[in-house]
Amino acid sequence: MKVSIKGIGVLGGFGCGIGDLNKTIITGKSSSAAMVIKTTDGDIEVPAFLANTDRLKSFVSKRDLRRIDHYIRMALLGCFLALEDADMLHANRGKMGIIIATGYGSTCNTFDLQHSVITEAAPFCSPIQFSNSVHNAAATYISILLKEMGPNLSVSHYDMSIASAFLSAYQWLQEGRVESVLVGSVDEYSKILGYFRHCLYNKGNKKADFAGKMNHEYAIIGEGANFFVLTGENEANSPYGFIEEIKMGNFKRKGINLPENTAFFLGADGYSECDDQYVNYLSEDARVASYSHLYGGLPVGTGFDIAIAALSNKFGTVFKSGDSPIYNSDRLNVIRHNEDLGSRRICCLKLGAGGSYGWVSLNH
Amino acid sequence: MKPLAPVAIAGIGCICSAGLVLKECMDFLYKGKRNPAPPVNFSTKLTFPVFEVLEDFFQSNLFEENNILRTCKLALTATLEAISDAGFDRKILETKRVGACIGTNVGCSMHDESFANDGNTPFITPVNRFLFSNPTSSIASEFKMTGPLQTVVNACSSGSDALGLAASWIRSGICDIVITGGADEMYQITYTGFKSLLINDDSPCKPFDVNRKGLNLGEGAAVFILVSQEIEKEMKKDPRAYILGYGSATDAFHHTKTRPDGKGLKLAIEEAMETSGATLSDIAFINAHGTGTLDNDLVESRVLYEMFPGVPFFSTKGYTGHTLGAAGAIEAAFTIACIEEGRVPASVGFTTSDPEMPPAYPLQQNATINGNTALSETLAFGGNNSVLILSTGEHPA
Repeated sequence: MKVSIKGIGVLGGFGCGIGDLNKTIITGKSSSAAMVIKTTDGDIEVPAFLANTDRLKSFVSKRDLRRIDHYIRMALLGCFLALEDADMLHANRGKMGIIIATGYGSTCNTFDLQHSVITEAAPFCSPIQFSNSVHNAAATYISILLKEMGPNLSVSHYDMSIASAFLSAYQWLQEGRVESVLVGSVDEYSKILGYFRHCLYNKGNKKADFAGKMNHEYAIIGEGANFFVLTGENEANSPYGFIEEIKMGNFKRKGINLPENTAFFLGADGYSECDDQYVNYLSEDARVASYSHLYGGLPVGTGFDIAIAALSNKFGTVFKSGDSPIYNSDRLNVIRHNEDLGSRRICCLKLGAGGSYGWVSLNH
Repeated sequence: MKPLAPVAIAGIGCICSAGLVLKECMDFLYKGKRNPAPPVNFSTKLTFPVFEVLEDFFQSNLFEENNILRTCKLALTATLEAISDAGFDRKILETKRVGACIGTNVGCSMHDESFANDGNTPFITPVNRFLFSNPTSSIASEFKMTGPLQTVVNACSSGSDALGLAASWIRSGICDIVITGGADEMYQITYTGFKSLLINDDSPCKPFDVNRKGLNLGEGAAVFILVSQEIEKEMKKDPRAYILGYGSATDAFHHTKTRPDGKGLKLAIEEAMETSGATLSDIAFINAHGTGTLDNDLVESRVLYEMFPGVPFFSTKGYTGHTLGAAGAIEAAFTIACIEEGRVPASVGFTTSDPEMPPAYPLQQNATINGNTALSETLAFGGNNSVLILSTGEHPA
């Protein structure tokens, strides 16, 4: 079955909307912020690509936004941008399913909540903060604001969250459960992640078991949201092409069956323990690219790769890769300049913890 | 939707405060007992009763990894029972296309008190442990699986949604076997959070009763081994049960309150019935969500009265507490065990009917039932409604 991509909504360090992502791919640069974290050992500074949600005001009233935190705002904006791009914001959408993936969930809110519950003299918890900390809170706000009563699914499986969300979206359309699926993902920057990065990359830090293991140069924390409107319609209606196949498995135990005649977009972002493994599973002539230098390191980064793949389909061009963090890039056939997509499909491949892998292939 | 192919359940495992294996749980339910008490697995100044698994249940010698979250320990314990119940050698899981789809809440939240209490420069070991040990990952790692993995975080309907999604993986042929279900541990944030919403009962909960004041939290896990028709034919014993249908729908109404007209629940029931091919007369009983909160029980009783007049129903929350992401799975396990046994437990905690509710009351005594098909439903924060139609006996036509 061919699943069409009808609309895309993205936001992150690169900007807001598919147009901003397209511009950033051409310039090859996103700008990061320097985030300061106070610790008893002094201030730590970590780089992060942050998302701005100001545009949400054009979709949602101030009244409806008053109790919504940054994590949920990112998800809402991503979903409205995708529906706008699909020209389905005000249309009769028929029976629509909603699927949201997240690697970490609402970490800022959860840790604030944890702090108030554990460290206060009397256990206290704000009811709004608590209900917003539940993993499906973002999907809830979306269903309420869109008045969508179809199936609603939230998944959280770290690096594999995107692949598992797309797998379910594909199956819902295949089974005829829904006419369209709004599938997307969201993750946010938090000081915990900043501190985690500091420990991971600071060789002198004794708080981490594996300090200094990886190269920090390209590992910039990312946050943002990426959403897609998928339908089972004929692909001729979609400039972005269609989702061809989704596969998940474990490469350490059973290897990976990868498609042929393909350009590979690798989910190497400087954080996964498996960033150096791609070279072992790709043929020598496989053309590869990585774009995490535009959106940063976050569990749902594969969603941005899918958006970039959709733009490649739209323009018939595979955009030049970032320099890193593709480990062993001297042994990989990296796309250094924009090139014609031709008849190739694109496979967005992510290797994750424990040997897990997930890939989503797009064709046009 | 058209009826979908039934999916065989080869084995079931269940652990909660009622028992460490499914048989033990059912014996406990039929005795009408319950033992709620203030929590002991974490320190708190609050004293609302909960249903914890108090025994030292985790047999660390049976598993490779022990430094894992409590939710994972619950899930692994139930998985081992389910594999044994299916009559499988665990090695089979390394050779077939095996996926895992598990529902949870706490098991997927980055929480660790030692991290939070370790000042401003904590060790990151707890964060690292969290990143590599949600229940799905733990099961996949322990049993060396090679198929797709998914962790469902649909709040309280996570467990039943996981079962419905896993059945799709079997039907579409992407897996030979799927390990599915739900798991959740008792945790301080949820305990305090439910109190903040004023939906905790300070006494043992009373689902559907006029004096109900809210829910009691619980913890546990239930795991199911779903198999393809090819595996079903190779098995030396009959499958334990079948997933006939699954439906889910959203209230699009409120984050924590149930939609008053019950429209989301009705849509989920309709989809589950359509995909199962079952008719109203096929449904022998309903295992209701029945939390003991004012809103949930009122809406649920109205929907059941309207859609299933005269069909007996009950809630098991009074025996187990609300086990959140595990609830849908645990109650699906109970539902199957009840069909097998031909009887259902009394809805403990219910004594006096609520005049606001329609004249349909949960069972007050254990009851004999006829038929081999039943419905299990869960409602969740976010307005998620999830419904399973389950049956036992020969492979349905």
